Amino acid sequence: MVKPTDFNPMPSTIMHVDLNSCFATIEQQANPILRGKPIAVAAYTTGNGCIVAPSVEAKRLGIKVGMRVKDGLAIYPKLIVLSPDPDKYRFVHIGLRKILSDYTDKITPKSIDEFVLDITGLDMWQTGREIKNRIKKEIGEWLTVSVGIGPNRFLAKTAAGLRKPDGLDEINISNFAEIFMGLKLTDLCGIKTANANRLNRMNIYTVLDFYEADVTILKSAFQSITGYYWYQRLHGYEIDEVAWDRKSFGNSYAFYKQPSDIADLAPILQKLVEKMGFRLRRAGFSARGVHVSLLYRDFVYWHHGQVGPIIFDSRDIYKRALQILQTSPRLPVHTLAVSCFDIIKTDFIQGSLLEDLDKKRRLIEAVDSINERWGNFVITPATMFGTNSLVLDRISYNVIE
Amino acid sequence: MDIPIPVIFGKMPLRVFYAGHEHSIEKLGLHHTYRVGRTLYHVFSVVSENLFFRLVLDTDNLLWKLTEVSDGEAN
Repeated sequence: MVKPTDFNPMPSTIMHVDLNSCFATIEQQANPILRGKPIAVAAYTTGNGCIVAPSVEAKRLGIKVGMRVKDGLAIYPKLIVLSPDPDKYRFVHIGLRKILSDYTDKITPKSIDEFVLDITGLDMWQTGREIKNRIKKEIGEWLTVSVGIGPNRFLAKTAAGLRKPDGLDEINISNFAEIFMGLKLTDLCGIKTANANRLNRMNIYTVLDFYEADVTILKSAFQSITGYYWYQRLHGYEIDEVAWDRKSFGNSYAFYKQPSDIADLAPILQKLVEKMGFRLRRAGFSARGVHVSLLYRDFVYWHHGQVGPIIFDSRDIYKRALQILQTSPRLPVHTLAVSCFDIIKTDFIQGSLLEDLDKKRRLIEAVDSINERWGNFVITPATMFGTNSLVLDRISYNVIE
Repeated sequence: MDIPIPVIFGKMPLRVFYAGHEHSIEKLGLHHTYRVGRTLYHVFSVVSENLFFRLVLDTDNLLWKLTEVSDGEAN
């Protein structure tokens, strides 16, 4: 017997807005000839390229995110494969944010295609419908969003996933039991096979079992406070309103021809460091740690991090990253990634007795401002020569800059 | 693809001269902008009767470039 009295009785205040098949839908918006056709946006359009966004039509054929282009083409040989156009996606993201910010200042972009809004006091359903109409009218008629409404972020997101594309659904005290009955454990965001197995070991096989489980059982299932968090989420109480600070900056590159020599890897490493260093400084940070990771052709993973004095100059980051790279096994590399961690706000850096940090900072600021003015890294280290067409602009799903 | 192209425009491109033909623009799919350094570029994704054109206007020199053309079929 479901216990509705345990569910949060307060009216819904949270809205989750999710742009359906984001990159592919935006491409179909831009190019009306592609509308209604199975298309896919892939990191690279060659056979081994990874599909990052299939269109709604492609998804209906079984083409999924993460598939290789060649596998997508095997399913549907007429699949139209496109390269990502990050500026286009950023533009639409900003347009969405502009519309949504007319309803509340409590708006959190969760990713390039997802927003969470706290719209306490407004009519949730009317606002949801109005937002959908305004997106079509003000950004593009092909764009559809799924809107979820709930008493907390988790249930609003779950509601947004109930009907895609173009859904508008609410999960609240009066319908949660019916909706939970229609979901599998793995339909819940955050529950995949391993967590489902943990729950199964406690005789929890359905979402309703999960809802009705005692908090002590859930704590045992997850062997941590996570069990309590799940109890709160499923009962409609907010525990996910957390603003995470940025902890690192990083860039990565997947090679078409997998090199193993340092001489071939170094120019790419340099370009990755230049891009990362520029982003680090523009956000007002310096870093203590540098981390390099390699995914080899046989999908063996190698990584190493090093902590040292605080650095912000890309040349210093590169020196440290190169030292790390030189300790790695010399095998064909599929993906090279570099990141800096243990970051601190630059305002708080203590001066060094050994070098004139202010002079260095002024030089770097001058170079950054020239690059910002003229774009495309017009001033770069000579080691980056020949990498212009490599390490293209990419957009991450969960970081919007 | 990055080729200079003659474009007749009002608030948006109206006619494009491409491959020896004049193409009337029938629909604007998306108009977006981006910057390289401080230079602002306007991108018009438009379609004629049967072709898609991605036209980029460089606001520094007011030159139009065609950066993509397609018939919407697989390669």
